[in-house]
Amino acid sequence: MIKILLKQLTILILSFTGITIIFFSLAQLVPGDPVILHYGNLTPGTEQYENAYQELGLDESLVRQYLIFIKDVLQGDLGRSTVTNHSVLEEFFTFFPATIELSLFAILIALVFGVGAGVLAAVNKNTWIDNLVISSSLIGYSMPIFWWGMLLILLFSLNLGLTPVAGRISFVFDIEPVTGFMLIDTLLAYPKYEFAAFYDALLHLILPSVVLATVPLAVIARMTRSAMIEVLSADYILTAKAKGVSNFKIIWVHALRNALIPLVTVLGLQSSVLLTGAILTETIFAWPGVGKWMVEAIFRRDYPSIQGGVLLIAVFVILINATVDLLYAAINPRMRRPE
Amino acid sequence: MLLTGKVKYILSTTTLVLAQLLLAGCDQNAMNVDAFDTTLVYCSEGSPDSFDPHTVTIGVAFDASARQVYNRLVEFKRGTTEITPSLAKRWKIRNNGTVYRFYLREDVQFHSNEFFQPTRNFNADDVIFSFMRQKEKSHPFHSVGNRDYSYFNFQGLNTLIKSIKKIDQHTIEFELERPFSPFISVLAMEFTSIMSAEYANVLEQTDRKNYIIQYPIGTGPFQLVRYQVDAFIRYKAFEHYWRGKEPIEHLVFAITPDPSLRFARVTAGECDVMSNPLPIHLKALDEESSLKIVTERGLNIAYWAFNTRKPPLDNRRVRQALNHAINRDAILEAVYYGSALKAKNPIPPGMWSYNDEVKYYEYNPQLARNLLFSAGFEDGFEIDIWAFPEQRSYNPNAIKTAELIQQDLKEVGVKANIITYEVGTFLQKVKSGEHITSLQGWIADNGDPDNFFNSLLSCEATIPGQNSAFWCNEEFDAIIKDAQVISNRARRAKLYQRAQQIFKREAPWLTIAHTQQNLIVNDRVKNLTIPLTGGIFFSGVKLEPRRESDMRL
Repeated sequence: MIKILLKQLTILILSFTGITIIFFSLAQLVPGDPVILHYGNLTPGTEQYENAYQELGLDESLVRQYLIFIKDVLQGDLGRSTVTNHSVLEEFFTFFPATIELSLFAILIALVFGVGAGVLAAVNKNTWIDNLVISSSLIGYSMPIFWWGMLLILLFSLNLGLTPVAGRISFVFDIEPVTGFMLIDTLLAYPKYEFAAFYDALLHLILPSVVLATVPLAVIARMTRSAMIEVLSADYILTAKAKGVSNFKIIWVHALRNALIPLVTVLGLQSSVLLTGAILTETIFAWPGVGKWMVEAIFRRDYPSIQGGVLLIAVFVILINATVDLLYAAINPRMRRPE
Repeated sequence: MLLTGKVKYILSTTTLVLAQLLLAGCDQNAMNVDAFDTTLVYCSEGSPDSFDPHTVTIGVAFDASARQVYNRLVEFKRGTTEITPSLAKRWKIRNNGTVYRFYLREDVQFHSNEFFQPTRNFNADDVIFSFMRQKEKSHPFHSVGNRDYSYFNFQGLNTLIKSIKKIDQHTIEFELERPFSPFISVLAMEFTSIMSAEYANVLEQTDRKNYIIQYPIGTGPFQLVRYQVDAFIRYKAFEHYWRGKEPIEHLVFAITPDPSLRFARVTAGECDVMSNPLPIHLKALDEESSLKIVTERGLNIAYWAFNTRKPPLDNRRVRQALNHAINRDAILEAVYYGSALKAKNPIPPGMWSYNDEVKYYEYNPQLARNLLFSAGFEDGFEIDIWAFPEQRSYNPNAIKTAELIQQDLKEVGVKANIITYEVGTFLQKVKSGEHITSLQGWIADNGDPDNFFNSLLSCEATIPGQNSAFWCNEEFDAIIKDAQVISNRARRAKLYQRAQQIFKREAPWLTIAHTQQNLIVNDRVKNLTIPLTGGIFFSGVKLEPRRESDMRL
């Protein structure tokens, strides 16, 4: 186990160095004067400008500049937004809970329905159910999220009036952001609006998380299906059948447990898909998360925010993948066995 | 373990509430619906960069700060460009129009927030603070924010105001370097909003100067409650507003940059008011809909500027020929969907001194060819048309406008290339005069014609490049300079009318259109009008209870 931990740690450090180098080089390529990008309107030649120039370390060599940059990043200093003048790190974390809340709901939907559909298809292999699952997962996988989101808004919000169009909660409710997680914050605000605010927040979550869940759901369904088919034909399943274990127990206990092991890796890989999807989903539904924040930053040419946001998201994805790998080792006995 | 208390609180509350949730079930009758009837939600198109009316330049930022939170010494009377008293009860102009004395209201209170409780009412110190902060580089609050007092400087107040004297607590005197008749109109503009000097003092002592632009304290009808960038701005009615508390209790700006989503939200009843609808949205509304369109003419102009410093556009005949060569009715139909007025003067018809005697340049390609022939361009020539890459309220699609112009020019033997740059670069390059022709526009800052003539067409304005035709006509310039110092409006109007005739003859622009301003409004919102000078004010707006059918919960 220690060996695995060490291996993961090395990978973590290497990937972090990798992305910071890429990131640092990208920052060099951004057009415009770096001092002005960082501090806003300063006139070259003035004392203020020269001070800022030195403060940014622009008179140093590239290697030293990189080291200064790493030091700043490790200290959590990602610069300030040129538009709002707030710390990029702080701003990122005010938007991050909204994205996490949305992603968690999406992954929950993807898991429940994806695994369910996958098992259903595997058990009914080569029947119309199987075909239905395969073809709809293909459609789901290739559907442009933007179009899908609009379609759902048109149907469920505008025509049927069942769900809200956009946002995290109706603006009628004034909820103080304590944790940033709307479901928790609406409960903390109790009894100001009874449970109306909580239900409203839940209602607002439905459409965006369904849209965001679509691609991972399709991937999980196909993955579960093929893993289940493989496991179901394994010898121990035959043995279990011969011993007279019920069909239900075979599928849901003996087969599924083993079929789910590769799924954990898939989940880790899907975290980056999920965050990319979140950028689109948040834009469609005016969901105030990091995705929408980044898009707005791009429109405003707010380079420190764009750069800080990209870096933080990259670090987050790396961390998730490292955690998933460790989790994989923990649940898969074969990984732990000494060679 | 700083978090322990907070975490414990969260965990215990959550458990308690979840337990109650299970017990209570979905008892929706228990909810508090009062908020529905007292909250107005406005779907706005963008986030303000700050709440500082002195330094911001974009409309959404003025909407969020100056127009709800602050007041000014004087203001525009609703639906007009007439000046009426606001924080100043009355005023006197002396010494040939170089001294303005204002008598201030005594019953005006400032807002309060968690950092500040006012101990005194509004007085002359607040006026001095609000102007000196913008004028004096050494002022402690001058360097707060982006340090760019563009409106203050652009209106020339930095050189115009000689001194501001406090006569007593509620009397104040502005001394000007020279007579400047638009001064009173300028004081109704958003950038002259009055901040609290006492608040500034408190912030300075606690070393939080920056809060003055993040947590504004004003005297206006609404006070800021909460702001989340790119999500919403929440206000509540100010209990002690000097004109009386507003009928709307809560006001929320739902920041929704995508126009289609804004329209979806207003259709679903999530917003009561939608800003900047597209022409297609206006057409989609039918008679039975509970949504209504509120329309007001706009004080703006879209024009095609000819750089008169560059040949062949330094030749008046060529400019006139181009004026005759373009079919503006086609542009109005294709670009503005018939929602705009054809323009003939540099100022819009709603503005005083508008000269209706001036005739349009009629669309006549043959005449245009003749004019070009007589100017010595029988073989035509080649020019560039610069077009702005974004939608603007005076021109929804500059690229499309340029394409139509391009086709018309081909008819008269002029080859045109369309050129566009990213916004910042575009403005910069036009200001330095790199273009030969460019599609431009202007929205009135105040109701004074000087704001058009002097800002866009004076010789002075060629230096910062706001005069994008780089047109400097001595006769014209002398007239508008005269009109600036005379205070008699009838005499000024006569001068401006003459200026419009010279403008027409010299043709430094092709005037294209004056657009209208539109809002889509739920009919439960009463008394909402659009000011001529643009923007949105929620003061005086009333709200009827929400209908059952609008309520989702």
